[in-house]
Amino acid sequence: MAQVRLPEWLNGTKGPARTTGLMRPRRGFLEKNIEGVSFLVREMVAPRVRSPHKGLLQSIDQRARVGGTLLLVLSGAFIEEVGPLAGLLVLTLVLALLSSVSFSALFKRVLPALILAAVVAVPLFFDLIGGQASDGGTAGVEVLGYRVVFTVERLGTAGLLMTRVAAMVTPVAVLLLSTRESDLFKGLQGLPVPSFFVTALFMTFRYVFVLLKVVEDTSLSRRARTIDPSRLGDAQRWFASRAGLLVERSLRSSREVAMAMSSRGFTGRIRTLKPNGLKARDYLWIGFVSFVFFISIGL
Amino acid sequence: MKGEEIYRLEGVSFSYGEVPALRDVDLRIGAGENIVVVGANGTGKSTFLKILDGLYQPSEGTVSFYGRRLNGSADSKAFRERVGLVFQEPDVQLFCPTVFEELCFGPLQLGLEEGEVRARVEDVLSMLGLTSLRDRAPYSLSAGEKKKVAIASVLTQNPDVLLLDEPTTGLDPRTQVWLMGLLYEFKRAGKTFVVATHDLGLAEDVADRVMVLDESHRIVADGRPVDILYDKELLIGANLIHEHVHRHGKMVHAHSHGPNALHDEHG
Repeated sequence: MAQVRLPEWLNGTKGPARTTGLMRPRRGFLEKNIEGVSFLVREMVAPRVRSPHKGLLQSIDQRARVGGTLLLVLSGAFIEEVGPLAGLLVLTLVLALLSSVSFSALFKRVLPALILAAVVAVPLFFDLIGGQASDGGTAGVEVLGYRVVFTVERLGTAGLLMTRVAAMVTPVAVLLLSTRESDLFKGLQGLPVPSFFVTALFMTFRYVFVLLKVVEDTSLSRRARTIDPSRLGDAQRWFASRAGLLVERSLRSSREVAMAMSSRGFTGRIRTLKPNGLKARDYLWIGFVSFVFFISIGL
Repeated sequence: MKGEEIYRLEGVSFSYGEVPALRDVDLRIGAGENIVVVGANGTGKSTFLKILDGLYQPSEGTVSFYGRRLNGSADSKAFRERVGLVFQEPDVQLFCPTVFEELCFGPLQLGLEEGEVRARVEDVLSMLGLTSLRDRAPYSLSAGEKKKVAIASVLTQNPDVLLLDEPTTGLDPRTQVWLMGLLYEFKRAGKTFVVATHDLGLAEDVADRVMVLDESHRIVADGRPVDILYDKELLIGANLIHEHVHRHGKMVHAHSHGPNALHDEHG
């Protein structure tokens, strides 16, 4: 066996460490962002593998569940008044309750959408009155020669926007929290959508997580060899090189997946199992959400 | 029929751009042969299996399957029904929402009736002890479970020729033993398999023919396991074992050493 000779500096040990305990690795701007984005994607997009098994929605066929959720979301888009939208939201929350969906988990998933909507809605609360503040009777503050005025009409518009976002996002979050990932895609397969699109969607979903794992691992391996958080410029250069790696990995994976599919007989047309028939309660559910949908058109 | 020629490779070479992966391969594979291709990392084992599976076209030379040139015909139903490849990396092979659907994928694409597909899948799940995983998402499984599901997903196609790329890599000892048991059963059933590995223990246990790919990307030996696996110079040259030097008191002792103790030279 070839003899390995250690250089002088590699010989010996450093002895006991003077610090007490392990130093908590400090995370730089980039690491924080990678971990944050990764966490967000997992929490928001990935349905729980261990979603509650028993409940109202769980007893309904996946296709009816997905289709019904779609109708609830569309209902939220059609309703033009805050009151009925709030009613739709309450109905969705009752469904969540009957499906053993945790309200805190539901809130965590809906909150980011509400925050984004609020960013858009906050300016709607106010009116800018240009030039000299002529409307002396309206409460407001002077900013750069403009009077920023709070109006009830604007409050109504912003409230409608926020309620609409909540009413449309909540059914999707309830579906994600009450449905296993595999059932979700089975449900999509049952809708009148070409199976190729559903398969492509699933594979995108599937391999996003494989690539996310690569990003997390590279970030962790960098942290394992770093004491101080790196300067932004260095971090950006590192990230650019890792982005290249990620593209290379994703291209390699896509080639391998295509070969694995060809190897098992795929020639361009996906054949899938025929779904089982719907039961009475599935039709009842579809009838109920269809009713909600149709009355929402008139509201 | 046992012994009938399935594959014939003549002057097969393959390159990834300028980088050679396989050079001047000439060989025949008969029905029922159980072949293990051993070689160090990067010697072209995976490429060799992908050529046998018709996924890569050789840069030079020809590949025949039952006497017919394998070009575009690799996508034919007759070929895909007879040959199955288990990839080294299960993650690329498992792309369906559930284990059950994963096992159904191959036979469905080959046009089998749904009833027969379901029956086959149930049989394979039961045979490999995977029934409890049937509704799980493949990505959520452990490495050993993924490998089992990857193998199961090919078995449901009932291939006559099974190609396995590094099947023991990353497996715990119990799953490795399970895999060996499975390969014994294939052998008993008269199936042909070609396993690419650098695990010499696997070669000794399941092969009746061993080929050695060395770092020049050529097949440098092809014969009975007893002739190949005990040829110390050959295995050292192919970077499959190495010379291990240690001391017994004042005596310096050298003997070959590899991932599996094939040679007890202390005796």
